[in-house]
Amino acid sequence: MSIWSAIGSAESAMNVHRYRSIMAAENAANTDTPGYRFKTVILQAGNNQNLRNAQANGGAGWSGPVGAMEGAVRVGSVHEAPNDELGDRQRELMAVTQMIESKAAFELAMRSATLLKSLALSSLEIGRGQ
Amino acid sequence: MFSASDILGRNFSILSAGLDGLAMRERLHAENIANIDTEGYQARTVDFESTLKNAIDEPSNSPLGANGAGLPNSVSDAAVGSGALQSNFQVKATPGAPGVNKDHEVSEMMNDNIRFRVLSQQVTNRISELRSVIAEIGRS
Repeated sequence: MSIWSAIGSAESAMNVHRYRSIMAAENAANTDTPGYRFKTVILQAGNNQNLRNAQANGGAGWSGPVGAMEGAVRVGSVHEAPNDELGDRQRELMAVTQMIESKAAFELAMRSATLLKSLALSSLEIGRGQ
Repeated sequence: MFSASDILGRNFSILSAGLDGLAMRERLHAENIANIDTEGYQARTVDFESTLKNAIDEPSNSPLGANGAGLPNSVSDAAVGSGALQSNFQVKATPGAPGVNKDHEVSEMMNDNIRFRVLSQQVTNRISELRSVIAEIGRS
């Protein structure tokens, strides 16, 4: 419940969006692969219940230990589309959209982490100097 | 029993409560941004300014006590020293539909960052005033 846990939630966002971009790249590479199941990552907010579940099960969902915490984000599940659910063209477009979106979200999380870092550093300056 | 406001004054307590409020809101902006693609997530914020405004405008209504003129009031000074103002800060969901407004969160995060630096500079100034006073007393 402090500025340090806020950096943890930015960390969880960076992990999650990096995972999404890996899944997106896999989708893009496999648009012509027969039998390939198109993957969509479903996100879930961290909260106290998720944290308790994670601690009980010894894991925290795919974004590292911070992901289950209040205010963080984690991978809830990965939806795999059945074979004929999406057409070829649709799969191509969705894969490209996923790549662009996850990159943008990753950069947004980095920006947020940078602002938090600057806040923490400026609080260290309090009382310093005459 | 001394509290911080005995030595540093009531204004300092308001400044420090402001820093806490801004840090809290900065954390909420970061959490909202982290959950920008999470389905059904409701953005949250904290309004600490109204608590501080009440403390400044109507001292008799605030945890700071009946006398806003800086005269000692031992019950309310102890309360302030323990963060009574901060305990009135309430985190609440932003009104409207679920979802996060990315542009709003980023720009408010930058604004709050600047406000934090302004307040922390004022705190630093107050501390260096005290240092000068202490140095001066030491010399005489």
